[in-house]
Formats: sequence, C-alpha cells, structure tokens
Amino acid sequence: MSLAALLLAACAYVPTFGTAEPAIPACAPYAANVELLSSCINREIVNVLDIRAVSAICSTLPTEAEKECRRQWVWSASMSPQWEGVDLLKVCVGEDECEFMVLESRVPDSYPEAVARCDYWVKTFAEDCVRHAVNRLVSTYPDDATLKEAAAQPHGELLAGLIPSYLICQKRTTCPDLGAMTSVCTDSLNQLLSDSNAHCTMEPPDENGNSTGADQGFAPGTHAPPGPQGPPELGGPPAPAMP
Amino acid sequence: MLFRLCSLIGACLLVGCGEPACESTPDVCDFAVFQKATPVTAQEAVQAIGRFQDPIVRTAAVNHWLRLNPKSTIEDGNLLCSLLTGTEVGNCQRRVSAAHLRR
Repeated sequence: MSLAALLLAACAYVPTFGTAEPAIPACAPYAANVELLSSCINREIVNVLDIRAVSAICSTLPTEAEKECRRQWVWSASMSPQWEGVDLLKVCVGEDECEFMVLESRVPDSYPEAVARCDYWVKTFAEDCVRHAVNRLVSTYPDDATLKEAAAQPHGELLAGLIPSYLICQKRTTCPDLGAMTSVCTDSLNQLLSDSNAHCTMEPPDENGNSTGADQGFAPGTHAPPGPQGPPELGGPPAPAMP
Repeated sequence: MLFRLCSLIGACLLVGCGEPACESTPDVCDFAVFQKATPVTAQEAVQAIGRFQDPIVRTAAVNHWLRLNPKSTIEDGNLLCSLLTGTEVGNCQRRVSAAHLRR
C-alpha cells in the first residue's frame, strides 16, 4: 500500500459521538460533537409532531442535553393550542423546569387550582410558580373576599407577603382581612410604607378594568399568546392530580 | 490492525486530519476552538459567535457560553440570546432571566 493510500485510508476515519447514526439524519454532520449534535436536534425536534417520537429522539442524548431537548420541544409546542397540557407534561417526564413551562402556558382561571398544580407538578420551583399565580391574581384587581379566600390556600403566607405591593397601587394603607395571614400582610405593608422609594409597579388597568401587563415572572412577550379561544385546559382528572 | 492503527496515527500527525469535518463545514471546526478558548466577556462572545454562519453552531456556542457563565447579568444573557432565531430566542430569554433559574 502506498503512503498516499495510507493517508487516504486514515483520513477517511471520522470520529463520531456514540456509535449509531443521530436520531435525526439531518444532524449527521454534527454527530462528532455532542454540543453541536444537541443543538441540531433541539432545532429539528420542534418539527416532530409525535410525542413518542420526541421522547425517543431526545433520549438518545446525554442526560442534560436530553432535558434541554425536551424543554425546547415543550417550549415550542406550548405556544400551539393544538397540544393539551397533559401531552406536554408527558414529554417533561417529571423535570420541574419543563413542567413549570407547561403550567405557565396553560394557566387556569382559578387561583386555588393554580396553586394546587404548582404544588403537585413543579415541586422544586413551587414557590416561584405560586408567586406567578399571585401576580396573575392581583392583575385582575380582586376584591377583598377573593384575597381572603386565596390567603386560606396553601402558601397563604407567601401571598400575604406579596399583596402589599398591590395594595400600594390601590393607595391603601391597611391590609384587608386575610384571616390568619393578616399580620403577615400588615408587617409587609408597613415595611413598604416606611420605604420612601416604594411605589406602584403594576400597570394601570385598561378601560375594561383588566390588567394590561401582568408580570409572568420572565421576559414578557417571549411566550406566544394562546390562540383566539385561549389555551386549552390541562385537562384530566380533578386538580391537582393531572395525569 | 496494529499496522492500520500506526498508519492512522502517523497520517494524522502528518496532515492533521483528526477533524475531517473542517473542510466541508468550517464552523464546526471553529466551534471546537471556541469550546477550548471560550471568550470571557459577553461582548467578546457576541463578536466571536457572530462570525458563525451556521445557525446550529451559533446556538451551540450561545448555549456553551451561557453554561459556563450561569451568573452573567440578564443584560449580557439577553445579548447572547439575541443571536438566536425562532423559538430558541424565547427559551433562551427565559433561561437567562427567570428568577428561579438564576438561584
């Protein structure tokens, strides 16, 4: 064998990540580098419309890349009303951040229901999830009875500590009756009132009395709004035990 | 077998053909360099990543930098996210700005 032939034979060797072809053939040119392969699959996965196929493809990647793959698909799919929340949750396979994304994209009208879902699904980030639910609640300018009912739910202390920011906007100097949580609210409100820099950060309601910009806790406008009929319900059995 | 292994090593030492993808997809090759010498500041990273034409390589580079810099500011993170396109942008922005992911 000549030297030239040896060189050719040696250079034909292409090291690859793993031994198999990538789950998405179009990603073959990136197979030698797991970060590139992950990036390619994440880009392509959003075009896959079969949940089992999504799981099968993502599971070919190493653990962290697999999570990112699932999150990328869920993020994209959650913008489409064609997907039920339960379907999206199946792809998450118990990963809290992924499930948090799903809950944020399929919010129920009822605050107690939202809190129950946070506790059931998004365990690690349950408080953050509840915080977002509180933000959504106060953006509807609830009456005192609604606030009292909300304070009686799990995480009532968290809610009671958060609503003084809302009360400031209402130019109120006392807390409503929040049952056992009233004192938490009062302490927090007094602290806010003693801070000369404290000011209302909520946007005023529109002409129909609805909030114009509820804080969802992350960059607004990056998650597409639901379709004309609103997002589908997460569906399934009674809260919080969604399938 | 031993002969082939030796010839392979020898040939690669001679012509540096360990990364054959470099010829057809230079961005793939440049990404390997980016991985080994990742820019420190967000501005440097934006400059370096902006040179990647391949959107897949670009996304991988953004993710690589964000992974190495989990405590970067939201502004820097968003700067990096702005290099992406499509649904990747929103997912990236959530990753760099959501309070629960920054703890």
